[in-house]
Amino acid sequence: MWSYEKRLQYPLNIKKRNLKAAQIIISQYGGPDGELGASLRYLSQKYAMPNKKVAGLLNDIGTEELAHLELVGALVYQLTDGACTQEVIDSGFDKYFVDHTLGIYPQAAAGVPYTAAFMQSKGDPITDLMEDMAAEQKARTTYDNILNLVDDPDIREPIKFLRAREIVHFQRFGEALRMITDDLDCKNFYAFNPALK
Amino acid sequence: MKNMTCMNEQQHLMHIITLASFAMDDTRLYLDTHPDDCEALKYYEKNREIRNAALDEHNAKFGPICSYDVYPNNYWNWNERPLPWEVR
Repeated sequence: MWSYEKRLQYPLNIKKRNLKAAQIIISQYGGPDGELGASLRYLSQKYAMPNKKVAGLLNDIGTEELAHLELVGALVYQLTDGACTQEVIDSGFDKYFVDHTLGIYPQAAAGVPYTAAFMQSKGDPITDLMEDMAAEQKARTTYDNILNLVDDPDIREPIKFLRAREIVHFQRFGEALRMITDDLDCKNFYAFNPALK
Repeated sequence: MKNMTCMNEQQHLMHIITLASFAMDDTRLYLDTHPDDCEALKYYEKNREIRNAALDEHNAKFGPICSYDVYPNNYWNWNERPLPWEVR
């Protein structure tokens, strides 16, 4: 069950609108390697995870990713709030604006709407953790790319925070994978799905 | 990060809550895979004390940040203060 705390996990204080940056950063809201995908992936995988510590980890990281989803949404909102028509046109934001105005919509920077096809929940602990480790690296690379494209320190600070969290999550999933493989029954030499009884 | 000297009391308490909560968030993930790490457990408890103290003070002076802590007093004031994602 989820409870909401009226605060952001990391403080945001955008002082200067930047619609070009908003168009890029939205990929971490609804894009292939973004926070919506991450939270849905981990929160979906938790059910079939037989190792309780790892199921708990999936739940906890999935919860943190929801907090990150909020951060990215807030960032895009603060970068676009109060924009006038000329800014929308000059920045190329008009293609998004026509369908969503200044509303926040889960899509990738290129306009592809979020889809569950961006994620997998395979019901096999080893497969799922491998997927999760890859997901964290993909997210980290995306944040690297954002840092390459954006100069404003008000934007860079929260992005650097989110990037650092991806690296920590990768580390935790690596440890979880080791825990799963250590637990493999000595009869399960070829690592058939440990979730199947 | 905002300069500590120009924070008002409410912002200062929220700053402490944010920091202590994050320390707990990060330690929670570590404890999920290292449940018997004594140092981590102590660090978690230390930050819980800091967070709870700041939270109690914030709730008393400026209102709750969790809806289970709302004491309405004839009006549902949960949505009164600026919402967290709003531009300051």
